[in-house]
Parts: sequence; C-alpha cells; structure tokens
Amino acid sequence: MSTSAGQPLVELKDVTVDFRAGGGFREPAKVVRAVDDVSLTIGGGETLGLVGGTGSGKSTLAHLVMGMVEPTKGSIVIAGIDPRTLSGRALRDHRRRVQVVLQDPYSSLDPRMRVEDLIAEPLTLGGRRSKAVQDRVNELLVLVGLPPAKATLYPHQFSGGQRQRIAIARALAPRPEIVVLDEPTSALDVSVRAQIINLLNDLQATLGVTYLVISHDLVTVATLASTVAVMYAGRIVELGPTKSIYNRPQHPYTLLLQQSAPDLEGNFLKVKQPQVLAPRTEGVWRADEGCRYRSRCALYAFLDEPERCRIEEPALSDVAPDQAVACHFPDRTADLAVEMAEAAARIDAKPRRGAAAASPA
Amino acid sequence: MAIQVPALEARDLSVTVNLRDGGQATVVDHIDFEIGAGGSLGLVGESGSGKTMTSLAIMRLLPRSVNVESGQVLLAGEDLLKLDEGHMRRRRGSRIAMILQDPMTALDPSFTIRSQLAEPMRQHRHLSGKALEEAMVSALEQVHLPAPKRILDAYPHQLSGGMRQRVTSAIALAGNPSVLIADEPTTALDVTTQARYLQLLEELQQTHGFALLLVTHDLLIVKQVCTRLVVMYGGRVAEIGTVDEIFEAPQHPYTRALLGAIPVIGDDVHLESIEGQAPDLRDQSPGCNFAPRCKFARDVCRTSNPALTTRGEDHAARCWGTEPGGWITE
Repeated sequence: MSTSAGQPLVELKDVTVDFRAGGGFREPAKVVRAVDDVSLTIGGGETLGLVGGTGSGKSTLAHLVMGMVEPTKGSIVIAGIDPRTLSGRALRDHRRRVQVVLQDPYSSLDPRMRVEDLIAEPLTLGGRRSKAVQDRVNELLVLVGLPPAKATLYPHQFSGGQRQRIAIARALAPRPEIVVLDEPTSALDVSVRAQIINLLNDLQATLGVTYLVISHDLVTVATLASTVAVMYAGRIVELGPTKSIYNRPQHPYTLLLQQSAPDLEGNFLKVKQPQVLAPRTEGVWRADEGCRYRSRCALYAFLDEPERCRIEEPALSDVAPDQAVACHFPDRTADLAVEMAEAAARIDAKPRRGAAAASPA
Repeated sequence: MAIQVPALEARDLSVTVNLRDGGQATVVDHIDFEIGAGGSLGLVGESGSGKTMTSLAIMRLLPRSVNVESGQVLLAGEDLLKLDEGHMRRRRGSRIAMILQDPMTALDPSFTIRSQLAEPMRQHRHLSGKALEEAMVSALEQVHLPAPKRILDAYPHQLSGGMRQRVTSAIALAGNPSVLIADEPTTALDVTTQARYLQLLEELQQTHGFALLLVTHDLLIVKQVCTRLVVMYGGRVAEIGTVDEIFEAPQHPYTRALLGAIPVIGDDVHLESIEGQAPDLRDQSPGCNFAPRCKFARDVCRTSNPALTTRGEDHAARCWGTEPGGWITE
C-alpha cells in the first residue's frame, strides 16, 4: 500500500528491532522485540501520525528514523540513502535531514543557554557564529512567532508555549527534510495547544517539511497528520487516511483508542472492556501464538473467541485502496462499535447518582 | 426535604504566595464553591490558574511559603482551617482524601503495597490481623486489580501506571472518606488507561457515595465524570454552574475559547487558539484578568473587575460583555 502521493522520503522495509534486557549472574539476558517486522513509507511534505500505547514501539520507530537505533533486521532509507552506508562527514551531513521536537520544553532546552545560542547551536556545532547564522536565528524567531528582541533571554523567562516555539525554531534551523514531533503538545496547556498545532500546520504549508508525529492520543495526531499508523506491541495494526481511521476504525484496538478519547458528548467508553492486560513485551511473539492483541480484544470476545485468532497471527492487509488492517475480522469491528453504542445508551438511560444532590449556589 | 449541609464548601477562600523578592502574589482570589453530599464538581484551569493551590489549601497541605489569606473550608459544616494539626491529621484519610497526579511519586518505592495500604486501614478503621488482610484484598478487588494477593506483596515499580493509580485510589478510599479530591489523576496515563480509570472513579463514587472534587485542565474529562463545574482563570472563578449548562451556553469568553480549542476531527483542522499568555499573578491591575487576552475586551474590562453574576438557575459568570445588555452576542 502506498501512503504517499509525493516521492517517498522515508522508507522502512521489514524492520525489526530487538533489545537485550535484564540478565546478570547465572541469568541470561532476555530479548525484547520493540518493533516487529514493520514496513512503512512517508511521502515528502506529508505528515504521518504514529499512535499507540506505552510499549507499542512507536518511540523506537521514531528513534529509527532519527538514526538513534539501528534495525536488527530490515532496512531504513531516508531520501534515497541508507545511513548505514555513510560515515564521517557524510553521515553528519545526513543527520541534518532529520530533527526532533520533544514533548517537554521545560526539560528539552538547556537552561544555561540563551535562546539565540540554543537556535544557533545546530548551525555552528560549537564553532564561531557568523553574521549569516545570526540572520538565520532572527529569521527563525520570526517564523515561529517570537520577537527577535527576546533572543538574548533564557528559557525560564518564557512560558511553556513559547518554549515549545523555541524548540521548533531550533529543530528547523538546519533546514531539515523531516521533523519528528514526539507528543509535541501534551505538556502544554489546552489554550496553548491550539496555538502550537496551528503553527506546526502553517510551517508545513510554507516550508514543505515532512512530519512524523508520535502520540498515545489519536485526537492529537489527527489534528496534525493526514495519514495514521496505529501500533500495538511492535506491529502496525491499522494504517490509512486519518479521517477513515478515525471515523470508521476497522481494527478493534483503533476502535478502543477512538472510544477512549473523551469527546464533547461526554460518553466515551461507557462499556466494560475485557480485563486490562499489558501487551507481553518479553521475548518474541511467534506467528502460531495467534493474534497478539487477542487478550485485550473486545472483538475476540464479541465473536465468541474464534479459533483463527488463537492459531494465526493476522498480517497487515488492504481493506481499501488506502487502508490496511491486521485483523482476521475487520468488517465485524463496525458491528462491535454499534453494540458498544447501544450498551452506552442503556447506561445513559439510568439516572446518575449525585445529579440531584448538586446543591444550588 | 431537610436542608442538607454540603459535603465540602470553600467560602471566600484566598491564598497568597510569598515571593523571594519580598512581594506577594494572590494565587487563589476569593473563590467560593460547594459540593453536595455524593455530588461531583470539576475544577478546571490551566497552569497558574490556582486549581492545585485550591485543593492543597482544602487539604491544608500548602507549601510553607504559601498561606491561606482569608476564607473558610467547611467539611460538612466544620471549618478545617480552624482545626489544630492533630485534629486535621485525623480528618485526612478518614473524612477527606486526595489522589495525586503521578502515582509513581505518590507511592513510596521502598515499601510493598501491603504496608502502604495497611497503614490507613490500621489508622482509621483500627483493623488488624485477619480482618485487615481481608479488608486489603477486598479494597484491591474493588478497584478491579487482578490477583490482589500478589499485588499486596509487590513494590510500586513492579506495577504499570494504570495499576499504580488504582492502588493509590484504594489507599485514598481505605478510610472511607466523605470527600475525595482527585488532582489530575489521569495526566500520567495513556488514553485507554485513562478511560478505564475514569470509569472506575465513577463506579467507586456510586458504591462509596463520596463527594468528588476533580481537578483537571481537561474540560472533556469533567464532562464525562462531573455534574457541576468551576472554571478558574488567574486565581479567580471565571464561571461556575452545571456541566450541561456551561457546555450548552458558556458565558465567559475564556470558557468559550477553551471549548473552541477542542479539536473536532473534520475536514480542515484550524483550531481556535487563545493568543497571549497566562496572567502575571503579581499584577494588581483593577480590571478583569482575562481582558489582555480577550478579543471582546472594552475599556470597562480594563478598569473594573466584573462580579460573578447569575446567568441561570445554577450558573454564574464573571464577564461584563455577556451580562444582560452586554455587547458579546455571538
């Protein structure tokens, strides 16, 4: 499945990442498979959103793109280049292509550096600062909506939203082709979140930069990304255009994410879900162990535990020209959604305790 | 029907911070609200709005440089601010309890869940031996933790974030309090875990019947869990009323902007954003503290602070522009 209309800028092919964990005296180290056979492309100038819970592998996937982790198996190609073939100066130049904005602008900016030094650092890398660099710093400050007069201040003299603007300016300084946004708004206040989301969308429209957005929240990702990949336990379980994924989720985990997000109607996830079980992160999941999502899957329970889910791991396969799902029964997820909505309506019909006890002011 | 004393009242409560330069900042500015027995109130605001200081003032757990300047905190009619520390300590846990944002720091990493859960049960319910063990197991079952016996012997780091927050809830409810304050209880959790935890909170409220004060920056969470709502801005109550009415007809431009900033997945996403920054609490200007960020502000807003005026049966707001005859009509 192709996710891009433009040239693919990032191509991951059958990528697996294993980590060694634990181990010690007389105890062998365990293998943790953080990313399990993932293939993915991101088109130039587009935004891919990566959604998943804790331990889903979304951060490891981002680290792969940033070149901080190497694949155990498979390959990753950025702008036609496999970074493993580069070394020395060529590798350093290549790294410029990918920059990152982290979640918490309170800890991601060095408190002892002035704003102008923070933004100039990726340009000079410790060397002397030319007039051209100074001009670029001012240009970037204007670009992210900060007055250049504030360039000599320190991070603590700014609010959270302004700090995130500084972090964005710093990321954009070396003119990257792709910016990884790791939960870019979750540490910010609600009223400031909208400012940053609008800024990021505007910057992409002007600069044509590609974004990879990571979040555990489908709604946050949907405000930035045109395409969404949903990850669970190292695998992509659903991939497609944001609107289809959000409005008609076909994987039961995507449905759970969609239903878990609080909405204006205030009736999210009223229906009891199966027992909470964290995905098994230890060791390597074998295909004959069945579907790795089964133990949490509401659809598995809804369909009376079909045998196929226990013996065969579903592959990511197309359900529409631009949407792919890793589930044996994707067309039944809609039925589950209807059943959940009906159950929620039944709960709503019961009066809530405390409503009458609310006292007048 | 007999007139019921509210479970919790904050009356004209003000809290100030002593600054390092010798100055003072008012972080909670004459706020007033109440929660009926078994009721639920959401306290919504951004960082610096004073919502956390309000909840800490109620628990009498303010840091040393922060003081209650005036007002009362009434727990079933009794003013907590007048109690000596010994009596206050006995109220905490048995009458009023609190759940904090980060369950990792709320639990002591060097003790098992058993010893941390046993403490309030011994203290407030005078349980010991077999009765204590049974009470602990049933407390963990009530928060839907699987294999409670194994969890009792676990240390906090062996549990996931969601499980830890369930444990802190069990500890908070161990003394069977009539008021529970939950301060951003789900901020550290994943969305799916958050949804499950909020479900649990609603369920526990029904079984225990405590009054809930839910402190959060997220209006949508309040919509899900609470029946009434206070919107705080810069230490003041901007708007107060029933959740349904405020969502239906918000009266303060700040509340409207917060509702407008909620993303709706549609065609083109351009969110309504509030320009500018949170107010400086040292600022003693006489006007409305939202005026510098308010696109409807007029001269009167900058010179005179509006009072909280009635906007409905159980609904009040502090805004010149939306008062009867005001100029904000949209």
